[in-house]
Amino acid sequence: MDLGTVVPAVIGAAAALATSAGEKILSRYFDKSTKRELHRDEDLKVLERVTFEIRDLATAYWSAPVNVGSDDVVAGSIVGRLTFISALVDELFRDKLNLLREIHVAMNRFDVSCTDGEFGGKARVADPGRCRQIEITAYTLVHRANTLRRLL
Amino acid sequence: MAANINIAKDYTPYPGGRYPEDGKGNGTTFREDFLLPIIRKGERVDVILDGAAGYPSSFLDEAFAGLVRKHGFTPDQVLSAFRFIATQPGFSRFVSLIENFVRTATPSGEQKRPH
Repeated sequence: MDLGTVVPAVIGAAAALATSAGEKILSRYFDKSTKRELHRDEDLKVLERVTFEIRDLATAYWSAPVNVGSDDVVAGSIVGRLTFISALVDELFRDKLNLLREIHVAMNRFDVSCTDGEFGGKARVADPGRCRQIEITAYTLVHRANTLRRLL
Repeated sequence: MAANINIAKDYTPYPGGRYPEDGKGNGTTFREDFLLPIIRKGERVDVILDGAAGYPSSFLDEAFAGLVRKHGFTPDQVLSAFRFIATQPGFSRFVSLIENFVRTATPSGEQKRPH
């Protein structure tokens, strides 16, 4: 075998190996990236679903005066779900502090609209006017999360 | 005097309600039993938020902003007396919520409604 044949063959083989290794690396990178994107999309769907569950519970809660038999259970369901989505947004945006701060603002506004005032009080009166604020802050939170997620 | 207050361990894992008549875990009792003695002595402690099953805004407002509204402390006095520890996922936002309640509270003012 002369050198004129061997060198191009070696170069060809090396190029093929490098391409193959590069493809594997790229493939792994994109697989990982795709999986991460899918997980983020799933988290966003959960955030949206649970936010609207809270919205429904909170609007029902504030539509009527205190019900000693069931208020504690409903209040617990609202606070528990709020705590859950709060952890979810922290996980979702933890790598971007500026986005995390923005989503916290929307999250806190939603929380305050649901659980401030006489929330958890034994003398609570109905406050249907608050339902408007709950709706606004719920939709704002979901929209904000979707907008910020595109920046991740 | 305790170097810190762990709300979940020292008071309740289920904080909720403003007034004593609202039941165990209310904000007024927490303020009077845990926060007031500290701030009156001019001490400084860590308040650990981790471990509780969430915090309704009404509890946080009554406990912390109540020091301004009901006891006449300034927002700066309140915020320098307590350092908030929240390392659990989802809990760091409670710190900004408390700070916001305290900063917007006024002596003898009514609790603010969000709408």
